[in-house]
Amino acid sequence: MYEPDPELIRAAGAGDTAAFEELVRAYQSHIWRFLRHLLGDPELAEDITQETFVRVYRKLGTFRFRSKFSTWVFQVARNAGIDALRSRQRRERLLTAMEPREPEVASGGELRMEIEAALQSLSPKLREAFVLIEALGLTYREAGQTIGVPEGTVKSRVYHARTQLVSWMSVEEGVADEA
Amino acid sequence: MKRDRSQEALSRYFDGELMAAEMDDIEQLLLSSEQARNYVDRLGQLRQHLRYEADEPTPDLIRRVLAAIEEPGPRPPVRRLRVAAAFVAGLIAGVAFIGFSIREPTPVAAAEIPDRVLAAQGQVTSLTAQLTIVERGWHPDVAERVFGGQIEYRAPESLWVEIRDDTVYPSNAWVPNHTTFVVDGNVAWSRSVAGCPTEALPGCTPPEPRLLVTTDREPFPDAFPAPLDLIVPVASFSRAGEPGSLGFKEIDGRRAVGVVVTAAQVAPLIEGLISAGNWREVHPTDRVELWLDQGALVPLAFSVFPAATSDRRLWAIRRGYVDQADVPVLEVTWTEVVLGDAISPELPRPPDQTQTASAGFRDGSPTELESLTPEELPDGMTIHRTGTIATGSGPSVSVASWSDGRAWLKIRWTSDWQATRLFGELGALVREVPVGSGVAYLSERGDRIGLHGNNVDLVLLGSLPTETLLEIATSLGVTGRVVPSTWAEAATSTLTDARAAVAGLVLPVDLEGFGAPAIRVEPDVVIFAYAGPGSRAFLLTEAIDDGLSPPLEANVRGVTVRGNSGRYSPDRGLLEWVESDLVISLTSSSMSLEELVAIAESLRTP
Repeated sequence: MYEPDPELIRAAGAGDTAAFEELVRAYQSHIWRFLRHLLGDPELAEDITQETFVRVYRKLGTFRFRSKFSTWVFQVARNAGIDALRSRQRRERLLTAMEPREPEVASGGELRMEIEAALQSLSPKLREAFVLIEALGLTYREAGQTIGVPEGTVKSRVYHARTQLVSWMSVEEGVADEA
Repeated sequence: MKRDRSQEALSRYFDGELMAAEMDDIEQLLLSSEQARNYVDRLGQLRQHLRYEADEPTPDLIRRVLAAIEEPGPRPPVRRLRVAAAFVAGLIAGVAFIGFSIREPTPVAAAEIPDRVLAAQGQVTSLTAQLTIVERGWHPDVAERVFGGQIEYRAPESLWVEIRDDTVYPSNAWVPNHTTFVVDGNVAWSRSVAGCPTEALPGCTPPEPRLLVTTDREPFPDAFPAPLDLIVPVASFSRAGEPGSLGFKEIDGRRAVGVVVTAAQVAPLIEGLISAGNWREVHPTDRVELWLDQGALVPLAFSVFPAATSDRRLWAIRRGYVDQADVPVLEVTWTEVVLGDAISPELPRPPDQTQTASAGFRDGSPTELESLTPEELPDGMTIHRTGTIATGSGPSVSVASWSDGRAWLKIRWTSDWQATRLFGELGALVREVPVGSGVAYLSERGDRIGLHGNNVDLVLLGSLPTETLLEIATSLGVTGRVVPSTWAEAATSTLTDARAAVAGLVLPVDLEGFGAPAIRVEPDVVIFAYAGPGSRAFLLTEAIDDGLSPPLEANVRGVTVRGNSGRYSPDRGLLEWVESDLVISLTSSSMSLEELVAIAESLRTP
């Protein structure tokens, strides 16, 4: 994961919007992808990505370079995402998005939609760990730092997420997986 | 393996987080179990969809975010650090000091850098660039010095580095640190001010610059070498492990890939700029953020940050440096970089009326050249310079060199070698390697191969990978013999010998960024020498003994190593402890205590 020049972070923290724009450009796609998978709603992910960067901007002065900047930004995004999940105002929209879907022929984009649906059937704890590892390619250590749990917990959550998803895929295809 | 445990292990295997000890079991399982393979296939399908497949286009939220932060709310205080202000001013004015336009960072690119640097060296034939250097902490009365300059290069080793000191000093007592360094064929010269201890500045600097001129220079010599890592940092990345990634950015219109390394690793690059003249030192463990042109792999910028350790702080205090955490002590930027055959830099000659020193090399065609020309050379390599060196006291030495861009290869040989060590300055610790039907000796750094043949002793060296050098040595047709028992290298040993000499021997596991060690066995003592890129290297010594000898320095401190009480001497870079009737030590002048402790923790019985 890209780590920006400390001077860029300092410039952004000092109120320089040109520097902050570069930080947004560097991380927006990663944050949006993380939130889209976490929330299961692309539009909501856009809102929360924006909210994430507003929080980042307002907290930049408190960043002390004791952790990777990318980890810190993902922590902010994760907290914003969790807040969104808990938000009563958006719960209905989420529940709608998470309603079970009719089985469809899994091919091309449809398979991706089904995987997305399966992803949304995971608990948020399993989902966030799985997305950080699988979609964004973080290490167990980086993911653990982002969500505030030990590496071993990330390993366990990723494994349980995979077990559920592989089981779901096998049922969809009518093939029992016995690996 | 139970199914759950095997799936859990397969999950970690798929993420590249499996312990080395588990790898064999999992690979065996994948070979023998179709179900295990199916499980991993499923994981691959999930990854394909989540990480790699075309997704909905990522929305560009910059305008929304910038609009949102303009809304009322807590605002950060407007304060600008000096460098940040300069950076931002550069952006606004459209001046490419260091411009950022990161799109999709791909950490994989950083992993490829060591191999790509080695591969790229043959492509660079000429280069011109402007240099900007900022140095901090050199003296308490001169917090920052600023330099401009230029660099001109023509392959394979013609180079001109001109550095102009633009610093505004407190008074005329301070001598500007203007520096000229030129290598052109058989002549090399430099003009620079003499170095001086910080506490004696400014009065100790002679006002007149020092001029050094060497003529009759052999190609790619050990003395007065051209600092070719300024062009492509080959020595800085040979044998390197995967560097940390900084992603990508634009520097003066060029796409740059960034890596994080230590100052020790890129010492050949840094020293190429600051070896002549009066500069501050950088500590070997300092962090260096290096940006290379993504295509040509030429340096575009680097910043050296002080390592945040107590040893480093003490080191700075002893030298009178005023270093601040997270503020670079040295920043260098290459701009207006032009590459290619179209340019033909004109290199200046040394001033007239200058006393010169001859290195004794005469261009010509040595009589044995035909028989010692390798049958196999890398594509693109052509003959560069050949000749002989005859000095009053030493043997007559013949030299042949080949080059391709910045890449080079050289063979030196003699038929009247009388010393009781290998010809070719291979160093005290070497490795015996098979070459053809004979043996050769590989230097600790893997960049020199010595052959002791019938009526000829030769050394083959160059900027090529060790494997390539070995292939070339094999094609020479010289059968290397084992050195006589009276020669220094006769103590060169194998791991089998080492294990026999010292019971309970331990070695580093999963050591990245270092070549195989050179091994030396003496009575009750085994020494392993590990060399990495640049000046990164360490010695592992294991001796049959039951206690540490009294320390020689005052600032030794206690350290817990592998659960044992040990001690560390920062002056000697020596970490030592007692374990299972062995006194074990790790010594390095280029690595931090933390790195040595990490290596110590990885030691296992081989």
